Amino acid sequence: MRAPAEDPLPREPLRSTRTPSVARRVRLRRTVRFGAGPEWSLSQLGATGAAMGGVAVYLASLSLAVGGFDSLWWALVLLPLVTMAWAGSAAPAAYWTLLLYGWFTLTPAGSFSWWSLPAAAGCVVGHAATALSASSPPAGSFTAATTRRWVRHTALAFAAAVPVAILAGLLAGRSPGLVPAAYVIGLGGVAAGLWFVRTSPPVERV
Amino acid sequence: MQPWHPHRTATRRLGGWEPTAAHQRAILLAAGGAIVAVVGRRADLLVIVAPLVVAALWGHLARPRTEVTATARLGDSTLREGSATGVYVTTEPALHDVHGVVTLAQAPWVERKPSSGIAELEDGAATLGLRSTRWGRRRVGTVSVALVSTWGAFRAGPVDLPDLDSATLPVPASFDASAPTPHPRGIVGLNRSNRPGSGSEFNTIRRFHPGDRLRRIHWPVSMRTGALHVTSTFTDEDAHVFLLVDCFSDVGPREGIDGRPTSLDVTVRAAGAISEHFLRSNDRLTLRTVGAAEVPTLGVGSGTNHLRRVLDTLAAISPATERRDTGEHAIRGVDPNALCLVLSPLIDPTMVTLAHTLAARGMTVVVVDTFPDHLVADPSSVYQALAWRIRLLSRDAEVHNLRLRGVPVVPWRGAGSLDQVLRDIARRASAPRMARR
Repeated sequence: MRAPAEDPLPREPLRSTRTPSVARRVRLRRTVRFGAGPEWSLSQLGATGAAMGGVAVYLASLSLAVGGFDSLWWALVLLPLVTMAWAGSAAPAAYWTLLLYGWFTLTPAGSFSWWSLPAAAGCVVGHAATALSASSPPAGSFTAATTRRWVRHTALAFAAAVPVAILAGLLAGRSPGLVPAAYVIGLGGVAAGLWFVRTSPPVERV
Repeated sequence: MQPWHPHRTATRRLGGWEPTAAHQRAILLAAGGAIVAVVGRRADLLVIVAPLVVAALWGHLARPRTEVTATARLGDSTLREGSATGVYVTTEPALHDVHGVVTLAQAPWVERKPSSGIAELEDGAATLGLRSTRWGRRRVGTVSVALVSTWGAFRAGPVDLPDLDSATLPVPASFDASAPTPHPRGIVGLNRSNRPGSGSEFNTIRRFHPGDRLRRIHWPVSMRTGALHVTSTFTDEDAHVFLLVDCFSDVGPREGIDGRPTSLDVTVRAAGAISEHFLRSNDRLTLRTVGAAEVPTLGVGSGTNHLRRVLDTLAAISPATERRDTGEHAIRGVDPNALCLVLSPLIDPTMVTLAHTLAARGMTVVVVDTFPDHLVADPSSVYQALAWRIRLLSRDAEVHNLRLRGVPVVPWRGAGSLDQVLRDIARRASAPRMARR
């Protein structure tokens, strides 16, 4: 009898040697589905939770800075959850504009509160969490390295608020003679900001 | 027909970097908040927007300026049913601090791992798993790649890469036959012939003739008789097997390798199993299809490379794409001594006619019935049950006519399905017979 020739294909594909190596490299993540909506990864839900936490910290700081406000305002905590599916749209900008407007209207002119520091933390955490959520599809996950990088960047950005707060605390209650200088500094900052974000050449509109 | 060249690698540029809503939000809130803080004398508002100013500037200054190219590569372009492979995606250059997402779109008969089909790029590389659950040639889902810069400020993509192709070969069902193949004529097979010669099957012990090999000398008999005797054997020969596959109908729910088979699933897997069995025995095999368009014509061949060609041909079948096919072309030029195996669920009358035609030519024909029993075991409605009952009655009449002509019809049951019928044919082959030519 002749020996059978070697099979060029695996006879039992499910026991192929390639399957386990692929399975090892592919990281499986859990997803959650709410009703008939899309799948949401736990990472995305975590980012949304962080955004809600940022809004909650901001509102708590505002409440402590002004000595309390109507309890209806606390419902704004739910805005990141409600707009979870539109994290990459203008919705987060709209509700953060509303929140900053709330600070503007509820605090008196010329005042300064150290509660603005945790409010800044809440604001930057909310912004970063929403931006991270928008960078991936609903079912997409973030690796630990990505999460660590965003946390590091957020912490560094928040650190900028500390010297501003110290400066504002030192200047609080001084004579308003600095107002014209503040105008100049502020407008200079806006001009510098516009110079930085300019596009050269302009973006082509299709 | 043009030869099929699967695309195993796809490359595309991701285009320019565009600002995102997050970046525009940071700029808007930072600039607006700063202006309002200064104008409205709200120093604490300036504190609040200070991190957003940093985020906007950081995101803008860290904007990537190089154009990125994404490449997707399929681990194996040829799979077996149920086997898995990977889609390896890389971006060039691999940018630091860039968050990338790879998405593999859903495609029929392709299971994605993870099930969402989404993976994150790590150091410019990502791996997605996919498992093919049904035989055939198809495109795996579209791979799209998107990159987001620091602070989610700028985005490149998502861009769909050109589609990748894969061929999934059928997993042959379990099949083995202990009966010999009728009409062996070649010189390289494993079937015993009636002629003495070089082989492995014992024939007799005879006196030594010039030319006999010394290792064939039977020493005990030679010592006892005082003259040299050798062990003679029957020669080993190969046979020609002709497979005719019915591609007219694909009846039943298409559930892939993990579910119940359709009639074409059974046919294709049976054809693969029979081919594997005979080609491992060094027999010659020809495969022809009826009812499928654009299936390459496969010549006669033997060996494992030919098995690969047979499975490739089976994977190229698209059911019922050539309804006008009468099968005359498929049965043209068939070796008259070939064993003709017609694999069909016997739903389309064309295959019954072809079996009659082959038998009328005096060829050895066996019809392998690949009708899956589960189709009629649990009908979903009484009307469907009635329709199947009428069709099966008609089918029984056709099968009866085939048997009357002397064409055996055997249901496909996997291993040993053809044993009895092949033995009967081998016995019948030695008897005189009459054929119309």
